[in-house]
Amino acid sequence: MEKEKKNLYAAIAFLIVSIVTICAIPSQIEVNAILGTTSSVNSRWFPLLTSGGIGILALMELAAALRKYRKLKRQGGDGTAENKRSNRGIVRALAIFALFILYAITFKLFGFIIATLIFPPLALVVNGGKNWKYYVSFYLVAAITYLLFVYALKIVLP
Amino acid sequence: MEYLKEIFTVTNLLMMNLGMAAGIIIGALPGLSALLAVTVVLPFTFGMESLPGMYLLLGTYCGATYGGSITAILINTPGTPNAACTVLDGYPLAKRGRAADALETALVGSTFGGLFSCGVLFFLAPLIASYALKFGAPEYFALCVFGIVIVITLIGDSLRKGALMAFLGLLISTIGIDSISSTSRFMFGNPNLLAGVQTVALMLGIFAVGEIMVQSENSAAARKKDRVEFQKRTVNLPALLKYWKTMLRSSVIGVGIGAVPGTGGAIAAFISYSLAKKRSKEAQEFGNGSLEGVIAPETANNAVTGAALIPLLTLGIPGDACMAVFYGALVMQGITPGPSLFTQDKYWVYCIMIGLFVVNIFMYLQGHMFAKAFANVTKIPFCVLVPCIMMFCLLGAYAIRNLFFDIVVMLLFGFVAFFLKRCNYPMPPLAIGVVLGQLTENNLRRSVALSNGGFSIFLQRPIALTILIISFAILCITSIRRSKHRTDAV
Repeated sequence: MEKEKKNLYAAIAFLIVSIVTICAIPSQIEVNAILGTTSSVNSRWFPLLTSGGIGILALMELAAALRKYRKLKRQGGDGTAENKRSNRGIVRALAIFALFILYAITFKLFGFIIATLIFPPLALVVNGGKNWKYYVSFYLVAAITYLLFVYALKIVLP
Repeated sequence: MEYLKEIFTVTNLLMMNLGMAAGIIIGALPGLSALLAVTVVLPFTFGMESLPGMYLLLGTYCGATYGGSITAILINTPGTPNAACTVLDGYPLAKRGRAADALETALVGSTFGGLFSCGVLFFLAPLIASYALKFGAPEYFALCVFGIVIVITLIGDSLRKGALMAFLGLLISTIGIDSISSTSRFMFGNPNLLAGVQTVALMLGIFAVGEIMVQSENSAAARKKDRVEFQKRTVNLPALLKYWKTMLRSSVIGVGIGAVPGTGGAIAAFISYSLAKKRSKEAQEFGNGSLEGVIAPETANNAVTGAALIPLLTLGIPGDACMAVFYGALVMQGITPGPSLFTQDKYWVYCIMIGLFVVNIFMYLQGHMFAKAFANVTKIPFCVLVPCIMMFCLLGAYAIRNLFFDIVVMLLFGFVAFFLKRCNYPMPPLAIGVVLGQLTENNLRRSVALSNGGFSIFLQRPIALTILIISFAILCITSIRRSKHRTDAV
């Protein structure tokens, strides 16, 4: 049942993407007055084709997911235990993502070294890393990577 | 001789070996694929010249393909999907105290398959490229459609989901300046989108960021496996060469499957295993610890590596997500894959093909000398990898253009990929759609222009028509088979 709900939401999301894109095409894509007007196959055509394709497939997916969801609902089914397990996992995954965002922002504002000293090790904490050797290993890898990028590959970092 | 002088420089040999070591280590870690290995190593190539950069990636690719067998044998968990078949006989061998023998067998098979596919690439690729030079816009469009259809039908459980992702990829590829009419599309006034969405940032997002989020969602307890200890080796190379018929057959299977876009090492491995079992005189040993049961799939999955480069180098069409990353790497280096490579950059492409031979030889040497060290990789917990991958992704996205915007793109696609993966939407069709999008659109519009606004040109070009009919047939057959399978299951 949980799986069918996810399929439903995903299909709705794709449908929204399709509708928004089709509505955005006139404002976002100008037709070139010299090259575009003599042919219906202009710079708007392919985006229209692909977003239309997404819309049609999303409707098919939505119909299939709705059919399965209703069938499962009629048969009954409780996803409570599954929900508890998956909620903990999702929180962990989203925490990693939040750390990623903070890492990126700190990287931009304060540079690579300060950002790397703080946030990736916090990701270790979130994933249950308790051994001090893990943190030492990471800082060693980070130091080597920094030297490689800056001095060997000559990539300028903030 | 000139080629050898170019290949055998300190930098190139170092990159091959570093890539190989990185690939074996990442491939040996359960849940991390050859694709993730190549994606994570990709940023290191940005500051390099094209040859060392490609050798680094090729070393990583070949190493990761072999590396998956290490965990398959030692902890009954394939490190990469390609090694899913190696588990069947590799782990039973290890439980009988012959883990080192199983690892050596996997290594010999992988090297044989890799070298065989290099030979095929070397002789076949120039022939295909010379033929492909005669292709026009309709043929290229048809090939793009074929590549996308194959990826949709072979990867993932749902045709509809695969098609949705492919269309999404094609839509994303339209962002930026239209190369035919020079109008801006979906830029929303952001000058950073002038060249479109950076493919490398997108790949890092969907294959690396999305993946570590998915892996983090699983608990540590779920990832824990019983590990068999590494014992002394009792077989050697001459003893394993008695399986030369199996290795040759598996190599042919691997090359045949690897050259077809959308297929991969896992399919080759399973077909090779089942054929080896049917033809073996000791078929009853299969599944209980047969050396032949290890050598067949490992030969096949590494035979895919060289063959997968054939459509990429000769036609400019990446056959799978790994090749899509290679495509991105080549474009970053200013190299356009396709038949013109064999005329304009002939020296470079031959250096790559010959270099791949050397990469496979290094794979054997490294695997043979450092087998025990690589086996210890299975002890590395996943939690240690997460911060490392975070760091590589951030550096990789930033190093593309030194723009914070590319990091934002990576994070955005990583977030979307996480939720889509949870809903079983496959990522490779998205990557292929983005990579092939511009090629598909430009060739379609040129074909339509040649037909004065219609599509009749596709009926007048037999090669293009044949490829389109084959693509349509594959789509229909797969759709009917899956519907029938679902009906039978009910």
